[in-house]
Amino acid sequence: MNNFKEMPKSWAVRFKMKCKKNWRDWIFVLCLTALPVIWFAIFWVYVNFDSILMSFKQFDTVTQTEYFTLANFKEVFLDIAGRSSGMFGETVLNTFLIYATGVFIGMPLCLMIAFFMMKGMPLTNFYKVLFFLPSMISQVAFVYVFTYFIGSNGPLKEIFIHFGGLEDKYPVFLGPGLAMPTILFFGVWSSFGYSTIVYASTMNRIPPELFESAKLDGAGFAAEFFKICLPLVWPTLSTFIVVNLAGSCSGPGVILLMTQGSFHTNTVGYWMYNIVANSGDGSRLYYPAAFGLVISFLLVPLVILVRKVVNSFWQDAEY
Amino acid sequence: MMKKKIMAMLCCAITLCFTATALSACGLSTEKVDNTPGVVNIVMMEAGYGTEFMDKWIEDFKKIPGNEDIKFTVKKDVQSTETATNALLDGDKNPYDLCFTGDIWYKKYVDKGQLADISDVVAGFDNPLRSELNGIITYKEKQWLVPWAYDPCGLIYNTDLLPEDKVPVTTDELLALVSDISDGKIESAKNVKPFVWAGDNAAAYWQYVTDIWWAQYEYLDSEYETGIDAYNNFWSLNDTDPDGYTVYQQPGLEKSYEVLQALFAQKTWHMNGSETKTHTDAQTDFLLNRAVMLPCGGWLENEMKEHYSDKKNYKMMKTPVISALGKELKLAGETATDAEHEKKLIAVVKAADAGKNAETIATESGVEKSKAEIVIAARNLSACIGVNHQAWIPSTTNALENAKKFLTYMGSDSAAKIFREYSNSTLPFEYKTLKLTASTPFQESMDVLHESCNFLFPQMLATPMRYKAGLQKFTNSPDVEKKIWAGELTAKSFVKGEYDYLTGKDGKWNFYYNQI
Repeated sequence: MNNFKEMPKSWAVRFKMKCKKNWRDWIFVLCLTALPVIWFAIFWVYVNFDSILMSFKQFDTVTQTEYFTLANFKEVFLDIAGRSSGMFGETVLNTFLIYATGVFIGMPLCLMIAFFMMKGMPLTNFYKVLFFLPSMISQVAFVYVFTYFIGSNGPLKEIFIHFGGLEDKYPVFLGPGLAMPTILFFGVWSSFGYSTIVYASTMNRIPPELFESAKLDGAGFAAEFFKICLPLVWPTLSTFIVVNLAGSCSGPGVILLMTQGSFHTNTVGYWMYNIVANSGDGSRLYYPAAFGLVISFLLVPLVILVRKVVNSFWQDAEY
Repeated sequence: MMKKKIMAMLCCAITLCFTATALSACGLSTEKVDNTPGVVNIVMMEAGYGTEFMDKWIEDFKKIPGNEDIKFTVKKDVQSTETATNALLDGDKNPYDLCFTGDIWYKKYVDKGQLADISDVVAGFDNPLRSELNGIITYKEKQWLVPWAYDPCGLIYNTDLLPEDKVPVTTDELLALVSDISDGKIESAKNVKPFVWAGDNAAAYWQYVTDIWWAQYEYLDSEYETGIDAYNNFWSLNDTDPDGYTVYQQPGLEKSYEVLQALFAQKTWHMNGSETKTHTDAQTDFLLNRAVMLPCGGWLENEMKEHYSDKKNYKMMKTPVISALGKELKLAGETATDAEHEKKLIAVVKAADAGKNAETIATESGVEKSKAEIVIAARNLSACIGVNHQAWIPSTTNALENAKKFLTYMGSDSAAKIFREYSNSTLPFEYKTLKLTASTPFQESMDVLHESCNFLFPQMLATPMRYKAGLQKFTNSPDVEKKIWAGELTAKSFVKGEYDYLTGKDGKWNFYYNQI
């Protein structure tokens, strides 16, 4: 019996027979997936489950035991809506500013470059390597090199002075007034390479006949881009938009490495990092756990809404 | 078929790589640790003070009769704190017997029974530990660690750019000095900025001076016996006092940051970009004579010696006395002006520096003896790095006796000399007879501070509200220096913000207090 459909109805029997036939394949798949599955189980399932439980607990110093309470959530809401409401509001704004810059400035730039690369502009392969190279470097190293380059002891300042600039007039890029624009610039620039390559790869899958027939109908670059290319790569773009939003509040990112939240650059991710880093000897992480859970719950409806909105622009197309 | 085989082999190879990477952290250490009972396996910090002194210590220790056969291994580790504390999780398999690390927040490890009681070591030092450390290293009536490296911190100045007679002794003198430097009135410091500092990762170095100004002013606070008490009580939040938050209203706190605010008022007084410099950048700029003063600590010499060992032209000054103290004490009399009080304060401080006691000063200057005593006490306060560097023994060691012997050796005169020679630094002991040789003006200036000053330092372990619940020194504005620099805060709004965060509407005090 080679045809799976002709096999007996019981799925267990069918499964058993299929395994018997392909046991080598199954072992290979198991070996390959065992590590990532274990990794996922420990570092995602267990950690998140434990974190959720922790957010409902506190430590009784008299009985030296943990007990369940909602007090942590009260403290979280008091912090974000009361005590530090001004600062937290700014933090949320910064987070979405970074995200919005990525979506409304970074993404269009990357799309344009990817489109021209797809259209075969000169030295396309060279640019592919050039754009992708920074993505191969550790993000931490990249940030350090960047901050050193623009810093007040860095090469850019030497160039500035060499061309007649005064030492006192050199802009302090990570200081008051310029810190946030610098971070936004870095965010767009550092994600440039990776995003461009992904978009270019997606665009390369578009059947060239579509562009040829559009050309025959007299379509120019703009029409090709907006009427053919953009709708067809939209599923990829919408995925990026949604995933980036979901990840916007996680991790201190470049803020930790560049400004540590100073000069009005604090973000939700860095705020959360700070809460954990300053939670004493680390024996009581109940409040940070609750904070993380609250942020997740606030973010979920927003992500769902954005997903609904972005998916409504164009339907998925098979090609 | 062949292609399938190659693909299968490639996939296996990739899987093996991932597995190996994942398992690489699982105790497959390449260090040569000897688990024979009696062998002392040391893990030590590889940082600003270097590691050469440890090798010399071991060499010297083995010369003592009875110690010749004691064996050591030394792991020099930039991440020594993490390495040593992670090894505690291994229980009996912990390979280390003696750890020289950074701050490990030791009380939680004591609670878990993971540290060895070294009260006998502390009691058996040739030279006793400095008295201000006893409270810090004592928990549950026993001692658990020994601080190593105990350098003063404060304002370091360039001796080529700033003549000795211009070194300020009060904060008003300091402000006048920076103005003069900026205006080019100090010939030797023309075209040089008064200050450079490290806003990127060490803005808190300013607290080496602001904390002292704060404690100096607190000598006026009738609630505390001395400024030292006030400062220490700030950290302990007055122990179990339910109104312990009142420490955030200590008047010295606002006064000290008023001085900082005044120093930050003129951006031209500071090297351009100071707020974004790393500590090594700022130190480099200072050593290259680009600024007259730098808030820093005693590690400067050793940390920068690899490239700047030829630079000897700097010293650490005694922290200037906060001028508000003189004005509040009305040193020049009830009807005198602020300028007269300031003049009198300068005179009293200089007399104190010359070694005169309060009685002599009172006689010579006409200042009341009790007021002179306050000024002398205020003058002889200095910040230090405190217990940021800790030596301790895991409870699972199989070389307890030998590890304790070696730790006891640390309190000897010869250990002090070796530490001075190879780290340019000082151990935290009160030496009965030893006079350490200072080979540079910087070391000389630090020795003066060691001999004459009472040291103050952060004490996050002073109360569970801080080390368990996480109440930081400044929770609302931890980067207060940068906020004042950027004009986002004033001294007044900063102090109010900290106080209101704890006690205002929905204040967080109870959240922290319930952690005790």
